[in-house]
Amino acid sequence: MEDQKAHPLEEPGVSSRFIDPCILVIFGATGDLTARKVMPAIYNLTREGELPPQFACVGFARRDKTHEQFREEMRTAISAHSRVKPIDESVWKSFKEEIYYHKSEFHDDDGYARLKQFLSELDTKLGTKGNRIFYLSTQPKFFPLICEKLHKFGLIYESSPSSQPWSRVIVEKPFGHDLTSAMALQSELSKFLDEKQIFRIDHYLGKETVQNILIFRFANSLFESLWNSRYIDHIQITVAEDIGIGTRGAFFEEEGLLRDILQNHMMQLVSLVAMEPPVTLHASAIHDEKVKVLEAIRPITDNFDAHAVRGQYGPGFIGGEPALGYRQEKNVDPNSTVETYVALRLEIDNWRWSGVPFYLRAGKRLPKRSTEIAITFKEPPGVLFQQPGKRQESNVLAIRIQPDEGTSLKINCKVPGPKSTIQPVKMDFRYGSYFGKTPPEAYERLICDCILGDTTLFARQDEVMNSWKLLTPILEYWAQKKKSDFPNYPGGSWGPESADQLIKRDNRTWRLL
Amino acid sequence: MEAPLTMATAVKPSDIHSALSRLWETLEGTGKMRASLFNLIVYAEEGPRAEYTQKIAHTVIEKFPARVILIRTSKSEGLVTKISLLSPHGKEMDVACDLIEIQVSPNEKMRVPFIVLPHLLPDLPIYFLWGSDPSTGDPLFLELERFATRLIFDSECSSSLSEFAKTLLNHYKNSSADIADLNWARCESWRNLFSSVFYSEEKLDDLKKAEKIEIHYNAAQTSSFCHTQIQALYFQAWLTVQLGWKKDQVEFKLIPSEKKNLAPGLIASVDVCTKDDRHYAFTLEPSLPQKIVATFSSKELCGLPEQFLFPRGEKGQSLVSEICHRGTSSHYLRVLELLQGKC
Repeated sequence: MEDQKAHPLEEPGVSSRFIDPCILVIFGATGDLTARKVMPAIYNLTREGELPPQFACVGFARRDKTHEQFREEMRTAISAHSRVKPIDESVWKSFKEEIYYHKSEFHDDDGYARLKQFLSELDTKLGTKGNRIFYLSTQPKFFPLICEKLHKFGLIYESSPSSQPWSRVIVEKPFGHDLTSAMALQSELSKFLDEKQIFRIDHYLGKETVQNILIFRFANSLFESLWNSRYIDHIQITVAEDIGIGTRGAFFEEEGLLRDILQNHMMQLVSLVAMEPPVTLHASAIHDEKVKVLEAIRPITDNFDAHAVRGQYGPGFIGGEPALGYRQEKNVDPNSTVETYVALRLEIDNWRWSGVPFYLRAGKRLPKRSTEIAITFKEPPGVLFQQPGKRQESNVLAIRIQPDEGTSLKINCKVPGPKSTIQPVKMDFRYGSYFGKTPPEAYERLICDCILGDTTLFARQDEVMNSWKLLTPILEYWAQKKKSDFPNYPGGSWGPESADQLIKRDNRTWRLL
Repeated sequence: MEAPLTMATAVKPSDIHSALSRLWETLEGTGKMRASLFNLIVYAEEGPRAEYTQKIAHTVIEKFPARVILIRTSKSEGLVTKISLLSPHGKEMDVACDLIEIQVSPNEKMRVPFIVLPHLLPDLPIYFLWGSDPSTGDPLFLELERFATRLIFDSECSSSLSEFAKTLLNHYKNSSADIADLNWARCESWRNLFSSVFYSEEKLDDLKKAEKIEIHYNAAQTSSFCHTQIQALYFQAWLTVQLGWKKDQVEFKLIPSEKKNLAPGLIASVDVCTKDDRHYAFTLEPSLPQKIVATFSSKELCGLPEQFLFPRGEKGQSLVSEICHRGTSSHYLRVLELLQGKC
């Protein structure tokens, strides 16, 4: 989904653009994200020939290291976290020469001056032409400082995507802590960057299955005509994890699950499922439609408990083995009231979705890892095949985002025999069965798109703001109303009783995944 | 008969999913397709009934592929999980399904729901066969019944039919799941026979005028069957509630006899005498238990015997239909209401 250009030598849908030479500077390079996601992504892009030979990656962090030490650490990280193992020695031999390390504190002017000098030398040595991506894999509080310094030292500069050299900044979620802080952060960044230079990563958008939502909806006329309130009863979106917060206790205590998952990943899924067909596949057209959906979601300004439920996992069992409760995890306050589970009920007030509730739930230490969008269609009129004492099963279209990526459709079928007995069955498509090879990781696609200047798979600022606008009142309400019944669900169960009540009030139930 | 495709392999609970995936990989290229029409959770306590309950599960899978989770209590300490693949209809057929076995000691039962939950296949019905007395309020049952679309019991496991009836009615009121009882399924053919024979208004009027009904049932006990009177009681109760008979309006006699060639508890014959001395007799043919010989006689007429056939077909067809395809029987609910406090 790239910005279209009228070019006499470019054949639409056939020609591929070559990726520009550039340098990727990772701020916070010794952190977990670089090791688990970013560096393995760059390695795999290199391995598959997606990156140009004129490419370099510079890790920027405060610890004292040499280039060699950093390279060895990155080799260990790639060996552990790459989607393709073992590491290919022939690739590594040349790839490691593209990795460098730059020691500096985020506030240190001298560090930026030296960085500028170093990058200039790399431009000369490698031919990277001054193109820059600055990946801010740090806490959001450092974003304005880093951008200010980069701007001050001429490391980021105004440019348009079609001219060289260009400079871009990738920021990780969360973008802000609430609406006020998000707006403040945006205001700060706007002093140094225009919107086209800011790439707000939401890695869900880089997943093949999430990208497939638009293909599924708009490349199949069968589904689009049913995709509305006339035929759909309700939609459930689930992001379930069986893991706890692990080593992220300190971070999680500040954020909670609504900020960690709901505000970004889930709101992106909602907008993709609910949006109107865009006029074109230009990034701006897609973003415009997503924003329209977010603006149409009915604000939650009162009766919060009827629309939003939170939970916190207690001790339980995962995979049959005992698991700690949230409050027993490392770096977590033993009396913490931070939520590890959220369920929301949303309504979208537009012609397409009026009267169709969207139920969202996300949580840690649930029975299994599963991210899914389920569209439940209305029950057929029961006049023909209604059996006494038995409800007719609704059709359900389930889009499995991860794991076991694919799509299934539940339909009703006649059981062979003399009677008209009905049994629900599933038609199932699995990516793994059809396409075999492991799909690229989300970060691989996103880094490539950033180099290409394509913002389609990144969150635009108004998407982020609308999402905060919807959810901030809930956060404020929760901040005032302390939870006294935490923890309220055992690890390994599907969440608190209050979440069941949220959907049961509408005579519906959560899907059992 | 379904055949195991692979040997049961012990795995850690956290490895069940990946171990099943690896098992399926070994079948690549054999043309076997992984299929499940529903989830079937079966619970049995160690003892003679455990094997019987497992046989029920296998009877179901013979007909339909399903993701089966077999929970069995054991005196041995700890919890063991095993996986294997089953092929309904024999190895030559194209489909196969997963079997997950959980063997657990009583003091580890609280772990079981957390092992079962992640392995239920979404969007498919969940049938939960509880092979023990439901009135004991077993916490494992209470945990798992919440997820079931259908709860299947066996009144044979219960020592008190009235308590069993009360418990089931309670579950039905408080749960969204359909309920079923295997013994109710076992006497379905007799109910169908009576509803067919007494279908016309004239014949139905005759039946309503019944004065005395004798129900002969097979009282031969086995290691897994000792409450052999239940099907006969169900039949009696069914006739009573459906025909609106008041207490003592009809004299019922439930007569046990030992019939080795019949399944334990099976109704062997029913004799109906009406107030006008009309007599209907229905008898299972000893050599062909699917065949019923029916005779009718009155003061004026002695009819020739008629023959009826109970549905042949796959073994336990009514059982499978009862387990898999019915909503809660309204007739059964009325029977339970009558039976609570009566036996």
